[in-house]
Amino acid sequence: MTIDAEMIEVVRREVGEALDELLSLTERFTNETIPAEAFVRDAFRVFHNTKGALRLGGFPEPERIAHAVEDQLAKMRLAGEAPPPHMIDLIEQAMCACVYAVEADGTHPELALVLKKLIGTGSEALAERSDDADRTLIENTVTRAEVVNSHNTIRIESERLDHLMDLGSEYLAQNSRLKRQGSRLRDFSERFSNLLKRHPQLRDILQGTFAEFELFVRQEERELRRVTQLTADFDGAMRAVRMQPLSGIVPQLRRTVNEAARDLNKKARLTTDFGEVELDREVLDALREPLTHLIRNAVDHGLEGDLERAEQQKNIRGEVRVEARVVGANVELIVSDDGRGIDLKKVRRRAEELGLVSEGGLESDSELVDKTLFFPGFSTARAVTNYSGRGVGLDVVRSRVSELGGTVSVQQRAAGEGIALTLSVPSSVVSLRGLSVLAGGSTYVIPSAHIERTLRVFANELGSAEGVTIMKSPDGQPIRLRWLSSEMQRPRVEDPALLQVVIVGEGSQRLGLVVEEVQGDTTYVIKRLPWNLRRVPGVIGATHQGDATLALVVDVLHLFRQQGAASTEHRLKVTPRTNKRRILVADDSLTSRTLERNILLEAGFDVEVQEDGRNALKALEASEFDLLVSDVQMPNMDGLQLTRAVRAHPKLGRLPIILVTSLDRPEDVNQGAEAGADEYIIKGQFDQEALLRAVNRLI
Amino acid sequence: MDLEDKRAKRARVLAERAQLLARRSGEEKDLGDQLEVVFCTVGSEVFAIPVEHLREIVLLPSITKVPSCPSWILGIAHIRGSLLSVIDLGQVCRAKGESHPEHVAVIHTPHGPLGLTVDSVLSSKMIALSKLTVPDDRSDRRASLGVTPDLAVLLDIHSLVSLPELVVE
Repeated sequence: MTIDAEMIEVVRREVGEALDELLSLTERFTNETIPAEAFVRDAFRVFHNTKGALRLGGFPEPERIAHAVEDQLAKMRLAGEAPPPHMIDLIEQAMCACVYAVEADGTHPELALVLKKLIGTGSEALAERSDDADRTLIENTVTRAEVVNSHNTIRIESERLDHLMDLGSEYLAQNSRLKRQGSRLRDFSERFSNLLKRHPQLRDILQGTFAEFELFVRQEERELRRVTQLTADFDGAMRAVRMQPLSGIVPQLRRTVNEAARDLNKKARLTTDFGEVELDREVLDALREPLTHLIRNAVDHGLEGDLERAEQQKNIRGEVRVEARVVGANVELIVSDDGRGIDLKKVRRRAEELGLVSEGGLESDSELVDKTLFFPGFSTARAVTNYSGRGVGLDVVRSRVSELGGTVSVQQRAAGEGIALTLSVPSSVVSLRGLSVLAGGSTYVIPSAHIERTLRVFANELGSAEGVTIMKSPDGQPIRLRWLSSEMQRPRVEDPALLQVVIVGEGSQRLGLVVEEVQGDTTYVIKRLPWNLRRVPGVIGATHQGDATLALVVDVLHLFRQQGAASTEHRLKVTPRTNKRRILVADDSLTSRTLERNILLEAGFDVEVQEDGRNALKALEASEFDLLVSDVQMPNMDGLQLTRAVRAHPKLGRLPIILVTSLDRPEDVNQGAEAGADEYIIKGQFDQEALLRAVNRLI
Repeated sequence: MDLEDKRAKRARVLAERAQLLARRSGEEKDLGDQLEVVFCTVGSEVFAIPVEHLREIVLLPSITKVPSCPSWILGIAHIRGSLLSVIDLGQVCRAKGESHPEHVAVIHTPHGPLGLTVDSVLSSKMIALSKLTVPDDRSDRRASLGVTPDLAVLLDIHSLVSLPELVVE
């Protein structure tokens, strides 16, 4: 009989489940929730089934062990004896050995160890083989295996799949480029249309051609929407191909718990609840190491020894639990234990020793825990054990997870109830979500996982503490500011009166990143930096924008790691007022305000832009301006309201105001004049000269 | 008349080709000594890049600067599906004269592709390794196998790639 790999997988799963069941049986027996009789009966059944499965899977060595234990249990059952404690341990150890062996293709040193002990108990059945009951069992198992085999699955070399993914990612990037081209086309068409409105003589000549052009643009837009939808579907299908059930890593995690518990002389069990959660193959592989690390940590630091647990009237067998759930495009993995939890006093003491916090600092408990636990080299473990406590640990876990575009946070539970760590990772790496920003004249992408919000802050509302520039967050908390352009070693531009800030967070830590412009949400495919730039601080990779340009993806964790870097690089940069006149342009249309800004800049003015009346008023209050050029129709506060507010303002009252608008009915012009505007330029007649003439008249 | 010209030209070209082919087969025993190179200018110097290491030469792409990199690593670029670093060849090899890069020569290295900036691309040619002049003092000439009779610096790709300052860690 040839054993199909699929079949072996079934056997592995079955032996794994048998171990779970056995551990739960021994636990209930030691708790005295089930009588000895029931324990022996059920344990016998578990080993009997396992033996059958192992035989079917072609694992003779572990099969022998299972058979020997089954035999021992049969004897106890006949004699009506309760198993002695050392026997319970041996039974567990035997099943673990079987699990290791099937994981390792049939053999494992643990087997020999168990065998020796079993021979010591005088088992006679070590050489016995097959009986009728086994045959029935084999048949049953075969049926199960066939069910699995009958699924329509094919095996694909992972390289081929990767190649397909690469092509897919190029396709995705091309689509973003097409989308940008599409919006440029729309822009052109609008400009064209405006020109025709303004110049009636052109209208007569170009009307026909323009109508054709408009039709073309509309058709292209329809096509683009279709292609975008197709690309999104394709992306979804690609992701699905790469998905694997999370439950596949259970055996590995279980082995970790068992080994750690055995070596540390503790009792522990793993419980999992992964439901139907699936993860990208690459994410799943990359998570193995951080997960096993967290689990070892939980057994080593989290769980107390037997005595301590007994004293606290806890179940002697500690529990390490791993759960998974889908949250939007992310998967959250929660690793928890029911151990001693975090000793806040110890953590604070260690943090003070390491100089992470000042004595009697004001950090909240959660901030303190976050700052300290993830600090490279931090450890509260008394002794350096084989497993953890060497202080390489959580910080490494955090950077691994971050490389995947995910985050790690820690939740403290009530004293003595253990802790929980949450790993949040994107379920797919095919495309990630991020925010595209401009800093130092270049485009960067900040992974969405770390972004809390974006907001604008007035430069004159910033404070500083211990040489670090800080802002007040909307919830009143102080947040340190850093300039992305300085982080990326790009030239710093002068800061405007209203700064654009992206608040990024990791765990309970937060930072404000000052950027020049937020360009919007983006879907990106991350590429590793070339071979000679493996470790560039602050950068986790690059992504191409569809056209030939690349944007670097910001390593947000790196920013948190180099805390306290208080340099002049991260202070406001405002040069003293030049003798240039300053003009504020308020317009909600990007095209209009860019056009106006460029005209004014070219004419030698210093220009700042705002996209609505409310922000314009704030900017006027925050800084000095010589003139306001405002659109009439704007969200939040329109140009007329803005004009009235300025006129009524104690300090701004006499600021010259030019209203620029497409409203050209006489009553509109009158309204503008009544509100207090000095000039009224109609967009229909708008040209460079008209604006500059009006500006020069006023200042 | 025109036709005559064309015929004469074709005959000439064919004759030249025949000459070239004949010469090559005649020197077959020396092929181990021959190396095909592409001549490129960098600053006021000419560099010879072995064709066996060359993937392609492209017009200067858009280069994205990367923080923490020395000035000779100009940044990264996306060239036909691969992400690679672009190196200022003039600076790394200490070429004389001011370089105004217009092309990037993409070379294969054991680790992956690497881009080298060059000013202009001249021609490709077979050179004889035995005719290289190796200067006694090689301290100011890095990543070079020697100088060809027409004074081009033959680039040593292996030692170029193993220059420690090429790697940022």
